[in-house]
Amino acid sequence: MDFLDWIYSFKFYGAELFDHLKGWDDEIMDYNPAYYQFLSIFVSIFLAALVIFICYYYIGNNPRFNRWWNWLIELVLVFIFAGWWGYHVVAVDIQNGAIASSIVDKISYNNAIFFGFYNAILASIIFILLTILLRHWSKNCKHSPCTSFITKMKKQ
Amino acid sequence: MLMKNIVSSLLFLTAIIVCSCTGGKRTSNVSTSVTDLGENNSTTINSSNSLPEHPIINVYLENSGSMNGYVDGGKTMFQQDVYNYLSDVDISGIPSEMNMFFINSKIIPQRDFQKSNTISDFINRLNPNSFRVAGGNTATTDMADIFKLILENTDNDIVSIFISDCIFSPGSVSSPEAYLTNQQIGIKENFAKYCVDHPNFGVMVYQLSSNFNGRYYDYMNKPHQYNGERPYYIWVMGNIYYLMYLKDRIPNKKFQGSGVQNYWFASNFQLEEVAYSVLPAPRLGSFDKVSKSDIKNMKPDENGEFMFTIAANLRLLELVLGDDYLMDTGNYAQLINKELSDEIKIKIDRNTVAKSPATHNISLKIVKGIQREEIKVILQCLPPEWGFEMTDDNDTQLTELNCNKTYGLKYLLNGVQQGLTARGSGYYMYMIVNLK
Repeated sequence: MDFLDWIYSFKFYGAELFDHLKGWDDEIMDYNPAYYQFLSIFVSIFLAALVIFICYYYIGNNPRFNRWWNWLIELVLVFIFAGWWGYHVVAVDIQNGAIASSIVDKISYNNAIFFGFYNAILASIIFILLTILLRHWSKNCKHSPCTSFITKMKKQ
Repeated sequence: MLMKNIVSSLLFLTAIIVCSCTGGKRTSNVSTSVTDLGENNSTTINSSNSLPEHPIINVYLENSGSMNGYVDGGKTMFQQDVYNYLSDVDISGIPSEMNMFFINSKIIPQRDFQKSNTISDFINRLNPNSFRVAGGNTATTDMADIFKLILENTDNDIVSIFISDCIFSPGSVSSPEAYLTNQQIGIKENFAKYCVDHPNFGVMVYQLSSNFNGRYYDYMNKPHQYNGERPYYIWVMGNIYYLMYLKDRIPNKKFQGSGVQNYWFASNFQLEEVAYSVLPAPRLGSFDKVSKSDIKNMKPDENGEFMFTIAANLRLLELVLGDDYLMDTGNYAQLINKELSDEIKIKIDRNTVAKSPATHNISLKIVKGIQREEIKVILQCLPPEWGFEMTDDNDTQLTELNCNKTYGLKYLLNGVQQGLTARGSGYYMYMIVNLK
């Protein structure tokens, strides 16, 4: 959990929203592990990035996709999904009144938008990391968006 | 092919969304920690479990000459209010038995009263003559001696209720101020000695008001005819376990007439554990919460200010001390690394969050640079502010300005407070927040 806290610790989306997603519970005046949401959010965006990565490099795996802009389209997909998902999680909590009373005044839809953006960037980084680390075994797309470091090494 | 790729991606994403939809949602589970908070508090008080469930309650009514104006065969507010309070005590089910006494230079037992029937007889039949006939020295009042007598007859299973106008009578002494100071020292000594063997001892003081018609004896012991309002006091002394029960069953609003004018509680007890936690908001600047009492990565806001808020469950203290005492920032002291500091500004608010077990929010604003340090907030046992306001220094003439004041009152209250805190920590509870 500490790792996830750190990942989400750049609180430009709102310190109180961070507390909410970490599980702040007025009843116990502390974070309630049952309400901890960073794990589910992170797993969702990680899986989204992974699935899109696998679809592009190993399921689709077509020479026609071996273009940088094909890869960029996948990246944009990841970005949009993760952004929407981050916004959606917070917006639903706002709508359902599932935010602790002590911090609810400080959390608005603007915070949800910023959190969506934060999440989108995070998912994009994950997708880029997956691309760098795991595309080498793709038969047709491993040179997208650019020739990998491993391939360059082998050529030398 | 591109379209196929996008469609397949979207299908997978939809599946992920469906799978993830249940994650992290709040449920209506009630955390057990709410119960824990209550248990923490009750554990502290239940240390008195060896006490009998029902204490003996002894009522001491001062019968010096200065009390004559308060009694008139049951017609005064004094008699009605005292009768009402003692009846409430009796029917609360707390006392195992109630005994009535007059008190001045000695304790004068009244016939064996049979509870409620005779409370009425005892109080309503009071008149100046019954005070005089009861005996003892009714000419002057030595408050230190009176409290000594009462404390000698108070024990862990005995609660004493003392009713008096609490006016010192220096009489013809050359220096009334010296007399009052000596009285204060005597009272302090009496309470301090008593507290040695009675660690959970407390005092509740109610200031009430009644119509008064009779001779008022000023500090020179000179009588003046006076017809008007005068304050008087009900002191309840005993183990805090019983005092809390009494206060719970008989809140201030149950007092009749003009009601409780002022209230004060003092004790030598200290809550061993108070449930508190640093809140995410309100705050100035930012920090990361490590635990309920630890924060790190403190940063001031754009104005260079840093503030955090502690939510605390002070329900038990609120019961005996009253909300006014808890809301008064003057009753708190702030320590940085165990040293008193005025570099922390404190603000107290009621906690209005419905689900929270906390009763009060304590905001601490650090007006110096933020460092790694330990911040400690303590709630002190102090004499009440109203005690100073209600003290009369010269009562040779009763006017509108001083008719609701009591000669030498602050010396009495200060003596009690100093006696109670002489050996103890002098505070009711503390909270520590570590800035890491």
